[in-house]
Amino acid sequence: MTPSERRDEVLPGTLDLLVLKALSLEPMHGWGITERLQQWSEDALRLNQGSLYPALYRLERQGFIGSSWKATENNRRARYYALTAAGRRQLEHERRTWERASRAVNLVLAVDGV
Amino acid sequence: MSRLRGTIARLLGLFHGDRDDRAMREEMDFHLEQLTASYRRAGLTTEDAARRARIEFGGVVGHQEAARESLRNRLLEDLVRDLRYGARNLRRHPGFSLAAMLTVGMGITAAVTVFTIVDSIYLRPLPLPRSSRFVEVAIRTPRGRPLWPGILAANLVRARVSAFDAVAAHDSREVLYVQGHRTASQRFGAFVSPQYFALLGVKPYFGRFFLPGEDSVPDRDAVVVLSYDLWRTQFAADSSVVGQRIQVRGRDAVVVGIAPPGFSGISVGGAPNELWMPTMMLGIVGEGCVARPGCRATAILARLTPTATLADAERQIAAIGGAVGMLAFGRDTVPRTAVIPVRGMADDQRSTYASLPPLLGGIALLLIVIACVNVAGLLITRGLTRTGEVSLRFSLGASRGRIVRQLLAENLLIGVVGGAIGVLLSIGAARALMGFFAVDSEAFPHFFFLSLDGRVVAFAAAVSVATVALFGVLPALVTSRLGLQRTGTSRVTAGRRGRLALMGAQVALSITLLTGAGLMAHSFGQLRYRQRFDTGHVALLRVRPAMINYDPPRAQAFLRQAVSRINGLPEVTGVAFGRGSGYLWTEGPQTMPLGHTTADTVGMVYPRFVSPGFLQVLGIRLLAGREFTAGDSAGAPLVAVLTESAAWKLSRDGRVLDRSMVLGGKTFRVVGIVPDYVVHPIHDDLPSLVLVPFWENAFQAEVDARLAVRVRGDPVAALPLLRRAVNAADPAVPVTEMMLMESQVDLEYSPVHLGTVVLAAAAAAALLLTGLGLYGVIAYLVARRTREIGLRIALGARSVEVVGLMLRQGVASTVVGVTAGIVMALATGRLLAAFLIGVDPLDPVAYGMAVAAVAMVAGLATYLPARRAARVDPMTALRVE
Repeated sequence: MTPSERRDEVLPGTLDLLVLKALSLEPMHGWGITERLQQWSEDALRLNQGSLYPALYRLERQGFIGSSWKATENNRRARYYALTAAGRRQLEHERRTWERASRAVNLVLAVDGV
Repeated sequence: MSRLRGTIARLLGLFHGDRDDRAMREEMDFHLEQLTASYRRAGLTTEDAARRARIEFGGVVGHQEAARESLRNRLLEDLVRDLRYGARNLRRHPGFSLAAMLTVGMGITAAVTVFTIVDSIYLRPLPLPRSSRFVEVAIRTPRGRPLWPGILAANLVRARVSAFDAVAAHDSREVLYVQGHRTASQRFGAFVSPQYFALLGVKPYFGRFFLPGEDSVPDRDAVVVLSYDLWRTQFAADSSVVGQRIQVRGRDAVVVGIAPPGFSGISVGGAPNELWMPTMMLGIVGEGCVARPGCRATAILARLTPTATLADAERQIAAIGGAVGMLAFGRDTVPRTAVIPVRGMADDQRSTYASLPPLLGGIALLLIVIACVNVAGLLITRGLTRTGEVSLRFSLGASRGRIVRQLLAENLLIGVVGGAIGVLLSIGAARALMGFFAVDSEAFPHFFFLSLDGRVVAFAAAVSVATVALFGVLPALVTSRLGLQRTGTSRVTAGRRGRLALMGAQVALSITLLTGAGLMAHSFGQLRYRQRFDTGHVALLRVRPAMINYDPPRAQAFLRQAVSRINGLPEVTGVAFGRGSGYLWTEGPQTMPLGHTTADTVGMVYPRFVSPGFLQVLGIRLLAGREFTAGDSAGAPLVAVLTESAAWKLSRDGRVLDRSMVLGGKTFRVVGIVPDYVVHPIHDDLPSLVLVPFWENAFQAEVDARLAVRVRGDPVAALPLLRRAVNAADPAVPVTEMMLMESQVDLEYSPVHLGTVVLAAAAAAALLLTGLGLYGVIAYLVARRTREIGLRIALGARSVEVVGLMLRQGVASTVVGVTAGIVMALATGRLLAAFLIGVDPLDPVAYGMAVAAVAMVAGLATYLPARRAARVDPMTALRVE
């Protein structure tokens, strides 16, 4: 695996969660995922393509997402990724992990008077 | 093969094939386009947008590489790590690992052994250079009967077919009698054209092979090449024998050379050649027609040129089919022609062994399934002790697929070691099995090539992988699931149903094999029973005055003298003789129509030419009438003894004694009736025989004879005495095929015997494995429930109740297994029906004994651990865990 590059603005360890989340509504191609995340995060999250595709291939290999070639609205061939049942469970699992972790961090930060 | 290659390519393509690269590139291009379009929408010029997009996206190739790396390296690294981890695990549990590897190894050994035998029968080229290009040019009559084309056709093919760079004529199956160096022996030899040795790429060890001029005139150049073995055994490796005169079938011949060590001709599956003479000398064995059209005394061996294909050769041969037919038949007949690669054994040798592959293959398949089921049970049981380790790895973030892969890698190691065991043991096993055919019933050795080759190793590798899939996948899935659940309490029962199902499967397979073995053993016993003659204390020998060209009067005078000398021995209680070859003087398939008059035909019968005393020596009971006497000799009225089925053919009322019958145009009087007796041991039919007196020479004057001598005491001790008695009558006459009738019968029964022995061994192995497997599972379950048992005992349960509780666990799977086993055995019985003689495939004895044996073993394997449970000390048990 290549080391993460300087432009990686995604919090380490959350890439999978974000990708799975982006795919949870409908199947999308890689470009669609970057756009969707950018849009949802109000431009705060910009995905590095260098890590997006390796992540997609890894998730596919793990069986969390599947892919197929389809035509886009403009009739251009593109590879669409979709969540599998296992992926849906994984998303739930990662979301809970994230919530626990972020709640813990928030609790710590919320302590006054330091 | 090409389909296999395609599959492999597709599998590889998943990871780094071109197709995948293209797809990845297309995907990246699409992304770049979209990025460019988004900058254009933001107001940049086309050029600027493209540049910005490229800068942001980075090198497409770079991304591709990163993505690909993530696929390929990860997989490879994971595999290496998994294998290393698996090896460590296996080392940590040497007992378990050894048991699993040996069990898998046993199954694979069975499969590889069968493959080695199939390989030697059908696939293996001769162990000679360029042997993959050796072919036989075969012809068939328009009706489809295979024939040898003969020497003239071989010469024509050599001159006209450019697809061959060498063509030889040969007859590789002649019995010869070799006298020289003050000894004499019967040997198997070949008559070959001078091109034969060069074609095969064989160089003389000493001296030379045949010159072209030595195979041009019939019966002129009596030259001979000896095999290395014959030279060493009969000629004491004396190099001065080259240039000397020896006698072959009583004819002087000059030794010109010695063949290299290990070269035994090309008659794989038959007797190895020990001497060679030019085809023009075939007159020695009565084929004096060699130089004339229509003489089909030799086969054609040819070698394809490096560039020619089989199809080229076939086309060219077919083009000269008419001319080949003229030479082969001596008249205008166009034969069907074929060019057949020389692989494995010749067609007619194959037929001897053809029943082996399906029988042995079926047994091997059952064994391999049993082994896999057994190891799967072991693995699942052991998986239960690993739930801690597995759930730890889950919590460290491994995916389930990852863990399954890791467990599979461990199982792969078991399979690979098992495969290695299979390769190592299979050669010995194949040799042992084919040892049943090492000597035929005429005392000739057979030769096979049974050694490791690339095909055998490739097959073993494929089988190993297949077995891993069979025994490894289910346990890996079960173990990973248990690790995932991590709910401690369910551990005891988890996977239990699966294991008990596996046990049931083993019980079923054992029943199948045991029933098969029982049926075969019963059939083997029946064969011996149906023999209807007594082989004990009978020694056999053959005297062959024809081998040294005695004429009939001289041969008969010798035979009378030899018989009277043998009769004079105090050990001898009876002598009988007859004409024929092989087992019990089988005359071959020659049949004659039987009738009341020369005009009618009431059925085909086999004539047998036997001496007075034949029935007495072999202990065949006379049902009516009399045996032949010394008075039934040349000039006396023709008489015959009929077997029951022949008598039935002649007259449905069964009263044939003293009636006359016609055989081969001659009229005989029926003087005796005997029961049918087995002549072809592995065929179900009892042939209709007509015995006629040897000395009456009813159809032609007798020359050679086979003798059966009944002796008091040990027949082995009598063999040298018999030889001396015959030599005293005439020292020049060859005495061959000396053996006990017991051994001859055994050799004749080889295929059935082999099947019985192998099935019995396989059934014993299956029974043992089933017992051990059942014991292991129940012992494990008992151990897991020690605490519970202790509690029960502490609360007042009696030991009988505890034993009962534990027994129940095994009983259900045994009962289900037995039921399934009987169903499978019924199907197997049908398959075996071809091998079963005189036994019903539904033979209740075989089924009953199989069920009893399995029930006993299963009972014992369950009872022993159950009894241990009852002895549990409640105080110790409660402290467990």
